[in-house]
Parts: sequence; C-alpha cells; structure tokens
Amino acid sequence: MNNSNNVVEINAVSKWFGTVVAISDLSVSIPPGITGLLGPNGAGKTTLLRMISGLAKPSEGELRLLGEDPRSNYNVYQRISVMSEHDAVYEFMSGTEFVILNAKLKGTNHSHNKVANAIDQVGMGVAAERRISTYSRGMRQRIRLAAALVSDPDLLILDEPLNGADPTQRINFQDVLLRTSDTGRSIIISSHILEEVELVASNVLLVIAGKLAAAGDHHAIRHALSDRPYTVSIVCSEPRHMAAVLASNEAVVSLRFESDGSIVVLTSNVASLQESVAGIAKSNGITLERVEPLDDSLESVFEYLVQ
Amino acid sequence: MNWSIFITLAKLTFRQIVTVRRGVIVALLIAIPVVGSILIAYFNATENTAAVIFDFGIFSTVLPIVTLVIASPAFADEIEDRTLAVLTLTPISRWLIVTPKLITVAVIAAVPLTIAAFASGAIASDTSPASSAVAVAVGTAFGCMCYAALFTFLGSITGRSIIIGLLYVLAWENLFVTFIPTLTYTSVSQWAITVASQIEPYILSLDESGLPNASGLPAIVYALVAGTVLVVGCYVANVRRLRTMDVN
Repeated sequence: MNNSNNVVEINAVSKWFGTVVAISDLSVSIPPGITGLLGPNGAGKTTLLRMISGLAKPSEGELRLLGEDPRSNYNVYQRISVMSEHDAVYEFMSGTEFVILNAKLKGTNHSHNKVANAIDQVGMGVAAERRISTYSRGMRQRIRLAAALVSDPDLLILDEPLNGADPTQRINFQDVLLRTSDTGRSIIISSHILEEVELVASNVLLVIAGKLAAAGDHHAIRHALSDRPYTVSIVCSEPRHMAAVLASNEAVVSLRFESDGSIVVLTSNVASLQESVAGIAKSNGITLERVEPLDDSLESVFEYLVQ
Repeated sequence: MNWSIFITLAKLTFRQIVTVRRGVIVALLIAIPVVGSILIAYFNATENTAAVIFDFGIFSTVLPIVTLVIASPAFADEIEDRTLAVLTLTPISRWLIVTPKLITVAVIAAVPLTIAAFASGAIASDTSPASSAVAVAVGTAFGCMCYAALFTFLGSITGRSIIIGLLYVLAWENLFVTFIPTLTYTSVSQWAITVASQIEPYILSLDESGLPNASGLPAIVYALVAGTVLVVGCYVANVRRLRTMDVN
C-alpha cells in the first residue's frame, strides 16, 4: 500500500459467507487506466468489486479506494461511480429522472446540458423521457451507464456491464469506455469473457476460485491460461483409438479411461489439445460426443479460447 | 442538514411508497373503523362500544397494520430490488438517508390514519364528539410515529418484515398484551391509547385499556418517554444498520 497513484490497493483481503470462501487472501494494486477483472462465473469477481466499492466489508484484510476506506469515508463516492451487475433502477422514473437523481445524490452539476450530454453519450436521447419500466435490458444498462457518467467520476467500476448486450451495444459500450478513459478517468470492468475486456483493458486481473491467478496485459493472461495443466473429459465413439493417437500428442501430460468409457486427459495446452482432438476425430472417422472441462478453471479457458 | 438531498430523498420515498395497490389496501383498512363508527351511531350503541372501536378498531389493529404496510417497504423494497446501492454509493451521510425516509413514511401513514381516526371519534362518540375526535386523532398520530420508526427499521433488517410485523401486531399487541397486563408497558398501541385518554378520559376508562400508573409516574409520562425512546432507538439502529450492512 505504498503507491499513491494506484486507484485501488488491496492487501490480504478475504471474504467469506458462512463456510463459503468467496475471496481468499487476495493482494493486488490497480493502477490508473482501464483494468479488466476476468474470471469464470462464481470466481469472486462481484464480491471483490463490492468490497472495492464499499458495498461489502472484507472479512479480513485492508482495502483502499482512491486512498480512502470507502466503508468509513463516504466523500470518496463523489469521485467514483459504480454500475453493479444487477438492474438497480427505479422503474417508475424516466431515464432522464434517473440520471438527474444520480447527479443530485452525488452533489454534482445536474443542469439540463450536463444530463443531456451523459444521456447522448450512451445513445439514449430518443428514449430518455420514457419510463424505465418500458426499457429493454440493454437500454437499462445504457441509462445506468449515463447515470454513472453524469458525475464525471475519476473511477468507474462496472460489474459485467455487457451481460445481455447485443453485438452493436457491445461495440458502442466499448467505444464509450475508451472515450471515457481518454479523458483521464480510470475504469475497472469485470467479465467472464476475455474478448470483452482485452479490447479495452490495458491491465487484466484473472481471478479464479477467489484467488488472483494471473495479472498483466491480455497477452500475459492468455499465456497463463494456456500453459496451466487442466483436466478434460472426452466422450467419443472410439475411445481406445482416440487415446492411442492422443498419447503421442505434445499437449497431453497424461490420460486415463473412466468406467463410463470416457477419456480423462491432463493437458498443458488446452487450445492445442482442442485442435488435436477435433483433427484426430475428423481424420479417423471418430464421432465426438462431448469434450468438457472437469474444473472451473478449464471451463473459463474454454469460454475464452473456444469462441 | 442538506435540504436539497432531504427533499430529493423524500420525493423518492413518496414515489416508491404511494402505489395504487398499497393505496387500495390502506383505503380498505382505514374504512373499517369509520364504518364501525357509523354503525354505532346509527344503532345508538353505548359509549363503551365506541371505546372498543377506538381500541381494537384503530389503536390495536388498523393503526399498526396500516403503518406496517407503508413503513416496512421504505428500505425492504430498496434491498429487494437492489436500488439501495444507488443511495449508499453516494457521499450522503447515512442519517441523511434514514431521516427523510422515516419522516416521509410517517407522514404518508399518519395522514389517512388521523383523518380516519378523527372521523371515527366524531361519529362514534355521542356525548363528546369534538374532544373524542381530537383525542383519537392525536393518539393515532403518536402511535403512527412510533410504529413508523419500528417498522422502517424492521424493513432494513429482514426481507420478511410484513410477515414478522403482522405476527407482532396480532400476537404481541393483541394477544399477549390482552392476557398479560404487565405487557401493556411494552405495547405501542397502549401508549397511544394512553395519550388519547389524556384528552378524552372516557376512551381509557370505559374500556379499561391503556396503561395503569406505573412506579409513581403518571402513565402519560411513561407513554411519551417510551415512545420517544423507541423512535430514537429505532432511528439510531437504522442508521447503524446502513453503515454496517453489506449491500447487494
């Protein structure tokens, strides 16, 4: 906790709910710029963001947001905006009313021009006077982003903001984030899909099972993901034939047969293994019934690499 | 006090609480004592019957239930639909979030309740309609403030505030307090009846409800002090709850 330039400092933070450990002894510093928080569903990303934003108290450890403890110094909220993964909106309000409310509560300028500018940034000008209850999920996300942007925050925290967005909305959303970052603001954005964050984030933190698995730019993350040994289950029409060919593959560390006829492969390179399995099946006339990860880490790897 | 924030949050609370469905429920509930009073007047029932209407028709049932319906969603709904984060992720002090919410729900509940109580008092009492109306209305307003603080806090600590609140009203306020006289000291509705009886004593004397004098203190002093302690205690606990809770 010694670099005052970092927007977030996390020191040995843990969070548990009863006997379930959501975050385990995690330490990391988040520098200015756009940081992507990456990990499979259930990895602890939302819990970590909730602690960073002060919504949840760490069970252990220390956390600083822009140099302050958000649980005791509410003034820090003048400098940040948070967009949670939930549809947290007042449905009886219009989009404009919701943006004005957020500006008022932050104690910032809520003039007509300021509010209209925030709404225009997310392309919601046409629908801004409609009640939020009539909005689609994508429109709700955009008006929430406008509400987050209206106070000109130094730091924007976005939890899975692209969930449910269509491809066009994703591109627009990413464009808004890049423009926001260009004005000198920092952004922390979480996702379970690498492609979503690597387009905008200069720094990526990979969280798996409540621990920091890797940190760096997206090249480093892809490298870390591919190099880790993972277990894959393969179900196919000719398992012995498939296993015989796979045994000589460089990506395969070991393999074994299960009683149900499936092959369990320990691999050091998931992407390479997947290509090999598909190639072997095609060239040998083997029908692949199922190729699936046997742990959460691998599931996330497939999400990232298979797409 | 930041009045701009206070007014903004008061308006927000008003729009959250005042819905058509809730309005229909409240209208039906406050109609009960008014209709009961009209029937009493029509059939020339005794003053004692009127006192029973005030006690069980207003103070022990309609007053707490209407206040429960209006006050408990103030935080419970925000927690359930996760909009509480919109308020807590701001530089606003927690007491400045609780204060306008509490005052707004108390006013929203008190207006229909005191009007209904005033009307019931005026209609049901044959001998002293004016003082009865004022007495029942003042007692109701006092009880409404106490219940508003209690049920607003209840809504901030549990998602089942309506069910727990109803159990409290029906079991504690109407069952245990009726059969165990000592428990009248813990009953908000009995405090409210005691306040009303200071303006019009027959409300207390005919139905033998309200507080007896306790420990040498006049009952009215006890009722006012207990009500104040409850309101301040629930308010402080509510602020503390907002400071320490994990918000989803």
